[in-house]
Amino acid sequence: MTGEPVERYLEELHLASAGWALSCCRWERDEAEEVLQMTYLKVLDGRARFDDRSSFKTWLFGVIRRTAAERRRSRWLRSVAGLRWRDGRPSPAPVPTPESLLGAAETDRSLRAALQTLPARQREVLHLVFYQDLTVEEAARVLGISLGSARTHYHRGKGALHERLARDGRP
Amino acid sequence: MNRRDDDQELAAAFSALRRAEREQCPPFAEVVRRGRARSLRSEPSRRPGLLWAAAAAIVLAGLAAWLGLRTPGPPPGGLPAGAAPSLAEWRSPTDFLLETSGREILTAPAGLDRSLLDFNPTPSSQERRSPS
Repeated sequence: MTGEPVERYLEELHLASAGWALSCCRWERDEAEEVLQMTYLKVLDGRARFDDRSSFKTWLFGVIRRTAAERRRSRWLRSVAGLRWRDGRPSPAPVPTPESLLGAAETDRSLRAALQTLPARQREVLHLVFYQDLTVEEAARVLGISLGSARTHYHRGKGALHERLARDGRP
Repeated sequence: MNRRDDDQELAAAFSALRRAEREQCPPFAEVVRRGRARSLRSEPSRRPGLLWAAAAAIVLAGLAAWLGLRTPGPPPGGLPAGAAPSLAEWRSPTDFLLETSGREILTAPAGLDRSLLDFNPTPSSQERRSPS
């Protein structure tokens, strides 16, 4: 699958991909957009190839997740080596921008805040199931983990999220 | 509140978050355009890395050449440069390690008319047998 069809698929999944990139980058908007840009270029330039072993959406989400992890690693290495100057600009702030906070509703903020406190795997499974409407099995495929493991993360994450939201006076 | 209600409330909360995030999402074409522009911008930033690598290679080559010039030549009593010793003359510097005790017994030719017990390499066996 190359050229125009890939671009069309990417465009159809753009909003979902953007949401997933935000979740993978812990809602750092600049970082999430860079991850999305890198992922799209990887796919469009043929550096990441869809191999028909899963649905295109599942595969694309896997690429986004790996790209976000690569970015995190390279940012960490740069900060350790003190090489931030090489980019010619400061690294994005690790906290959400005031505009994004002002723009978001109170409920969204408390949900995001509660999600941030969960372990990464639980947060990812919950996002894929509740936000992206994937099944737990599809979520397991995106994350590259077993179905049993994904189910465990799903149930534990749901319990922990309910607890956090109840503590904050939410559902 | 049962489990199903819990799940529905969570789904509703995620749905609201999805709506809010989608409103702020830049269009697909814009993201691709920015990505292309960014990758073009980052191309020149790779050049300093290449320049550093080239400079390091030149310095290393110079260092290797200097070390090569400083390597001592053959000792004064040795062969002139370029002259290789013949195979017949050449002896390995570790040749002595191959010397084993009783080597003479193994290297002397076998004689049918004498016993190995009579063997004495210092005065030759021929001399010992001849009557004085």
